[in-house]
Amino acid sequence: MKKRSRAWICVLPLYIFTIFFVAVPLVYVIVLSLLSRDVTWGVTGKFTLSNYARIFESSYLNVFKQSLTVAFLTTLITSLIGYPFGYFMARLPKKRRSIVMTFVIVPFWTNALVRIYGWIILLRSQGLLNSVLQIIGIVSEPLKILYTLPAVIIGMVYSLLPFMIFAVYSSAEKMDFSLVDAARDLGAGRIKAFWTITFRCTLPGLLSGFVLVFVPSIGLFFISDLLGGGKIMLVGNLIQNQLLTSRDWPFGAALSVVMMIMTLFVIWIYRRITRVKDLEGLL
Amino acid sequence: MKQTILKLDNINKSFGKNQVLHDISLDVSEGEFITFLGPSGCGKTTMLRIIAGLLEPDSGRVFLGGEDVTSLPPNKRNVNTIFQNYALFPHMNVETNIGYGLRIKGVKKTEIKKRVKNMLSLVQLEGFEKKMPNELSGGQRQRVAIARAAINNPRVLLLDEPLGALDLQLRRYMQTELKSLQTTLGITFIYITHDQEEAMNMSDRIVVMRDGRFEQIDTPSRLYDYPKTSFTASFVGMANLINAEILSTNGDTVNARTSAGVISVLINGPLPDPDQSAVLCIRSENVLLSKEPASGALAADVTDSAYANGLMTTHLRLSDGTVIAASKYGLCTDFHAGDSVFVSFASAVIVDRRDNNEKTQ
Repeated sequence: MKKRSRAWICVLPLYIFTIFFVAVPLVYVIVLSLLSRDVTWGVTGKFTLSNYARIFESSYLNVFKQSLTVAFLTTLITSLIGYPFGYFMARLPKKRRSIVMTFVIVPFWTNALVRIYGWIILLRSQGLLNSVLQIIGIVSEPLKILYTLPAVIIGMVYSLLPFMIFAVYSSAEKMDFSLVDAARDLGAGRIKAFWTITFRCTLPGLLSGFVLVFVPSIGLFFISDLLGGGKIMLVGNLIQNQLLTSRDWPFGAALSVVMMIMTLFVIWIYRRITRVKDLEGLL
Repeated sequence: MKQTILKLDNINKSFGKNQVLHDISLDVSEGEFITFLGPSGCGKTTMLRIIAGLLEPDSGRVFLGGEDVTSLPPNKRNVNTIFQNYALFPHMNVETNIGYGLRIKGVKKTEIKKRVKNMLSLVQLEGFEKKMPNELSGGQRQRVAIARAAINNPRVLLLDEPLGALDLQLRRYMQTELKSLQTTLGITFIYITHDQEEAMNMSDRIVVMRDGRFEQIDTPSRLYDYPKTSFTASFVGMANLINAEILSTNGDTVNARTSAGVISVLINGPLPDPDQSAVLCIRSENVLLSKEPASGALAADVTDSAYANGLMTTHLRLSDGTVIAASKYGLCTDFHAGDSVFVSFASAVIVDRRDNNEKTQ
């Protein structure tokens, strides 16, 4: 009995932390989303579902549509780059592997905002990319990339690629490559062995990469703010606007709840497919 | 004479500066159980991978059923391997693991199901179809690996230390299983091990390997009775290796001078020339102990004795400090540590001295 009570005390801070920083804000947001807006006080205690109904107005639905498009494209591009990258990184000899890993991690040591500003310098009309393209002679007029959807996607891919790389890496690194030998030995050609064995064994990593990239790419608002120039409105931007600019807290809260449900849905699908509780590559 | 199924012709292989295989040549006949025996790092796994097609030799040819397969990839060779760690596919159950090779070849589903069922009953794993590899014990995984390889009817089955991870009891049991399976299937087995007991129990022929070279190729009994080198002698069974100078020969018996005195011993196999130095290999059961002095016997002190598996092994120190072992079936309490005894030798074999990597008993 004594032992048990002591163990309970040890985990108590964890419960307190979870209650104050996860449960209470969550309940607060959900409650807020069910209340009405009030001009003077921000909110009134009147219950309503109108905040949720408003989301179905076409202008807001379009924001969700655009957000999902950006998230899908970002996930697709990061997996096309990140899968081979993570896979080959796992196959490198130890010494070279840690060098490559460092190069992937180092950008994290700089503020994300600063790095996105860097992209503005690269992408703008008189920026490095356009100068190089013009010197080579590929384009005569500077390309309009900055403040367009491609710029936002470039920024998203750039910011979220390491998550994909490490998710794939962590499952490729655990893989026993004698399995590929065994498949080859049993009659599979290189490509067949890759799809039936290597790809299947690294799939949990790739799927967890999907989640780790897809989920934040719905919400990251500063990238579309900076690289989209305010023209590209994503769910994250919409929430920020409602909470900070329009001061429509209940509607902002309702948007947040819907975004959270979308996120949970993605994670639910991931669990259904992989039957794994933890995400691979969560460092 | 049975047909040659596998022929290795002057295989050489290096990794960087390190030459792992030196001019390996060998003929293996149909249905043979042949074992490559050698310490770790002697190149036996490299050779197996070359036969499987997972590695390409630097020079030399591999023939399978008369066809040159040297540059064929592993999936084009009718050879299957049982890997050291079994390499079962973790995301497939027993049934799909075993059926993998047939699925790749595009065999019909009903046919696969039937053959997997047959294979499972052969390795005594009926009812395990839906189990995942991580739900199986070591011995069961082993059987799945065997079934997965054997279902493809390979011409040669390669086994890379397949019993290494099992405990002694199971290892002994699986030895008999493997041998009887080989007889049932009639497939040529090429088996790799560093365990001489395993090699002796199962093989038709044993190839002793050392530093990428073949030391001796023989049947287990000839390997034990007539080792050609000191390496083989000490790797297979317990051997006392004694340096001697041959004084005279008298029929099959020689008189020889060792640093502990002159001995007289019967030589099995080819006789040495007189006035030459030679290495005598004397199996411990051919070392005879007596409390009475005799001509051609050496004085020695008993250092210790041990009784295991019905065999009494006594260690002795000769006057020059050489330690030798004598063994005899049955519990024998005549000799105790500290006793002074006289040692004579019933028979010996002359072997070539091989110095590096050597362990002497």
